[in-house]
Amino acid sequence: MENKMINLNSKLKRSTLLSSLSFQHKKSDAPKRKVNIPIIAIFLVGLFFVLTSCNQEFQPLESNDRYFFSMYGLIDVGADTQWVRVTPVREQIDLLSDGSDLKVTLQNLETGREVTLKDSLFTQGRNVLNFWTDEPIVHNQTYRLKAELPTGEMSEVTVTTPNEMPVPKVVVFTFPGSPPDYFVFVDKNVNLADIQVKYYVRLLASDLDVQRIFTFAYRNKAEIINDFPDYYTVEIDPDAELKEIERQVLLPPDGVIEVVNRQVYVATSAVEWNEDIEMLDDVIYTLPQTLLNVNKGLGYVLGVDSKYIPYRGCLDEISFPIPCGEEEPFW
Amino acid sequence: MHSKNPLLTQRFLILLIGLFLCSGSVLAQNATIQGMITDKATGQPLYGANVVLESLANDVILGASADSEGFYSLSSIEPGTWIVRISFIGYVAEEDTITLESGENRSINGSLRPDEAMMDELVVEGATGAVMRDEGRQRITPSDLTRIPSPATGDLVTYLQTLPGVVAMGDRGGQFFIRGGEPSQNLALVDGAVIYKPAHIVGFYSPFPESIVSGADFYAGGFGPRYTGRISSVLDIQMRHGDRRSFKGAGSVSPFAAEVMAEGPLTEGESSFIFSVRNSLIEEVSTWYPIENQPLNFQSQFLKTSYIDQNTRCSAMFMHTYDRGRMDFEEPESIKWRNIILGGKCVALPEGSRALMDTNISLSHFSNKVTESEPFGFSSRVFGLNVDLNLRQYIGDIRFDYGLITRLNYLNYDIGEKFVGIQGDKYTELILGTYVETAIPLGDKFTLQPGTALSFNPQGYGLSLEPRFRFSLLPFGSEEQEISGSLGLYKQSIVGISDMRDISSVFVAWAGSPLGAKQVKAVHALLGWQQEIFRGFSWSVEGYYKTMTDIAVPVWSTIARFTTDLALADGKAYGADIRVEYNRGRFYALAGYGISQTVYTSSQDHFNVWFGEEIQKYNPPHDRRHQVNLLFSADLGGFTMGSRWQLGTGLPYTRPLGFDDLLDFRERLPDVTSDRGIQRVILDKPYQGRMPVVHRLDVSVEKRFQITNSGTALNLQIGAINSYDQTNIFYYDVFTRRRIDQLPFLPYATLELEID
Repeated sequence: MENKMINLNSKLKRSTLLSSLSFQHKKSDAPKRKVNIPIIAIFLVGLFFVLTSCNQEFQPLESNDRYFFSMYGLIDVGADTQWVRVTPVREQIDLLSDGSDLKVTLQNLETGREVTLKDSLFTQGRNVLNFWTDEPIVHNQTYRLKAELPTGEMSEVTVTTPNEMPVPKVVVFTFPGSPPDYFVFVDKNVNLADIQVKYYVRLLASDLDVQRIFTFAYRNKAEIINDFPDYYTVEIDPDAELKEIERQVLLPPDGVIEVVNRQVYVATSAVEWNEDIEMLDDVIYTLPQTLLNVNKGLGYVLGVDSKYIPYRGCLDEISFPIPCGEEEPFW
Repeated sequence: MHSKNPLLTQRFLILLIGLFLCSGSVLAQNATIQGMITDKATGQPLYGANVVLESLANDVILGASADSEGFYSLSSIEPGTWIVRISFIGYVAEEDTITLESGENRSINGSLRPDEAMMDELVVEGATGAVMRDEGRQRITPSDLTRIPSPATGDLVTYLQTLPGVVAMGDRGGQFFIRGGEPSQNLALVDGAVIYKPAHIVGFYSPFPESIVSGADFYAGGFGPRYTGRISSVLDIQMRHGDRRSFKGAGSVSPFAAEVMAEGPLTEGESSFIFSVRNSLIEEVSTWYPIENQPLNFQSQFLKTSYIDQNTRCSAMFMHTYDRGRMDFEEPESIKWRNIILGGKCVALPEGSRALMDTNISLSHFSNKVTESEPFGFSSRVFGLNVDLNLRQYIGDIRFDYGLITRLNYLNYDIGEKFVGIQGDKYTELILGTYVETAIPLGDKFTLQPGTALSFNPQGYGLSLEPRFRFSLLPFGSEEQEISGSLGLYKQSIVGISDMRDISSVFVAWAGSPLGAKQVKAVHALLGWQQEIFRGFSWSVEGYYKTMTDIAVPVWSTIARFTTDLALADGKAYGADIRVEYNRGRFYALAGYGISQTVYTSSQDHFNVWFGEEIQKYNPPHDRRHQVNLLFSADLGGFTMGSRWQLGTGLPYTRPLGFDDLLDFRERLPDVTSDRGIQRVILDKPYQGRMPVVHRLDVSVEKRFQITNSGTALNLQIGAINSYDQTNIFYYDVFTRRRIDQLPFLPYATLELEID
């Protein structure tokens, strides 16, 4: 019988290896091992109590002294009210704070005058915390915007306002048989920060009457061309703008889009605008380091001078294009 | 790999030939027998059934065991008269006397009747668990599934979670990460057809209840060349054939789900059907529990018809699954997914043929979708046609597995996000392939299994070779101790993109391989030891080292939105899985421990700006370092008691440093009174943090009430999930800074009626 078993083993393996199951009767009957059940039971009960009594702390937000506040906005000589967004970066995105414990100040470093900004909690899908002041801002001055908590966390950004910008002009060229061409001209001696066209629109239907502002950005198209070497020149396209508004608005069949007014907005800054930023994709742009001038915080604040001008051309007595003059924002 | 190196192919063929010649096999004039061993009632192949030939002339005994198709083969049989005995635990053995001529090749099939008196013995003594392994494979039987305490009373995914190399994220989502691989790198087959998501949204349910599963082969790695197209793991599920002789049924209900199963003959003795329907109840029932509402819903339907004769088993199968639910119960975002599978399968051993033929044709459709508010949301669909022919035959003592594969896949995705727009892509691939694997005994102790897969993608990567080697060594000449190992190359041409920043992200965008049609590649090296210390007590350990190259990972960014912008990463995973199992008498115990480390290295341009280094090395979010599973069940006083304790160390997550709404200066100056900004989270380096350890104990007690002598019975199980009410984290949402937890203490009762 012993010979048989040996032979069986050697032959069997060739097939069982391939299908992985071994014969039951081939296996040896070893004596039963004694298991110390009480010790195992005590161990398991002990383990149970240890495990049930421990709940690990989980504090996912990594404490750091790099980022205290996120600060965005403009310190705008041309604006009556300064608006900046200041958010404690360690708070949840669905911001619950009303900003009452947060102090945001704006100080003119030339004169030493400091004002405290007032807070205003907005809900735009989620909460955002803005701060504002109607302190007049002066050209060619350095300002420090500072946000701090009573506990000592503080972020700040220093910005410089530009010199006064000459009033830009809109020039309308008309050629017989074709629609007029609109151009905006901005003095080339400024650091051009922005050119926008703003449409003030009413959306009307039987049960609808809302006001909306549509903005079209042209900064990326502004250039100094040989024909007008003293200006940044950009051509604006009213037809394309109207079509885009119609595309964006979904109105009921009886709905009407009424353009109430339109303006051109131009802003300049003290520092030269880095045009490379315009080319960045989302991944790079959203890195904390990409657009950052806030110390111990996140974000970007820019000192600007802005002007609103009419979306039309003006001529002097000899039919030479001249600036139409400044306007207040329509809404 | 493109076929850039013809030398590689040449050397491989030379090696194969050499091994063939060295094997010592002699194709002499000895006789050969082969056949299929099946269950008489259902026609189900009896995996592990024994065929023994006992010579009447001398003391020689030859034996073989049936594989998962019930196929066996015995060669090198000296001409003469033999007693042939076919047996399997729990079945009445068959015996016959045959006379074999010189050079004769004969088919001898066995169709065994269940032995009711021995069924209990089958349950307690059938080899399972630690010893049911070889070359990375774990054989899973229906009785394994029923040992896990769960309201599902036996389910494949619940069992999978007890395997040491398998990391499940929690009790919802149905995501499995195996030995450092990602869910989209796992191949799941049901009767030969691909199923893209083989789990339900509630973590202890799948479309594979114990009542309809015949068995499953699970490879955590190191699988043979028959399986291609995925680089991580294989779960090859075989579904039961219905009973060909009598009608049976079962139904069960628990607070989580209700289920009905029925089977019976279509033509008595020839053809049968089996169907199963499973529907979730948790969404409705959770409102009665003192827990938060569980907005989780799933259902699955399965129908299989089979035609079986002596040499052929053919079946047609339909499966549909649907899942819907929210990973974060407080968020409106909801995910849905659906599998639709149509499959046909024929296993045949033609009279006089030495080759077992297994033919599969299947259509697989998978879709998943995340919706918040239309038209925004993510969706992705896969449509696949698979045709394959697999043959197994023996020449002398050498086994050959070879076959042909045809795969046609159509994939697409659409990602629509507020303020971003909709982007999408589609991809079609046709793959023609072949494979061969041999099992060559080199002496009595060593078997080498070299093989390779060869595939051709006309539009994509061209020709691709995947050589794989496996071996088995019996150091002491007995199967009670075995060393096995494997080394192989694995490639994958399609990728499933998930948002890695948040491990609970269940949505997968299926797409073609990015960046120049490079395939994702992996090399697996496995070495294992298994030993049966005494009858019913065994242990096994398997170590692995896996390298992965060109893994597609989403570009790492600070923006709170799904991205299909991809970068490449290389990875390595290594570790060991240990199982100790006791299975004797009325007691069953299993201890499993897995230790692993997975590291990805990715180079992305912006890392330099962000972190000061272009290359970042990190542990991906599924890198669970330690995992423990303890399972115990006992039959005492007519009650079956089960308990399972599981522990997993914390998964990596990326620590947020803060949040803000980034205002965009790129086109124009922003207006803080009207612009909302881009939601941004300021992240530390990837995955530097670890979430807390998770652990829980599930318990159950079951009592069976026999109603009739024919087998009709009522089973009542009461149990509890998370018995000591541990607060286990499910995931941490870095974008909302919210922690989402797994199920708290949840008692349940399951009532099951079996009608026979």
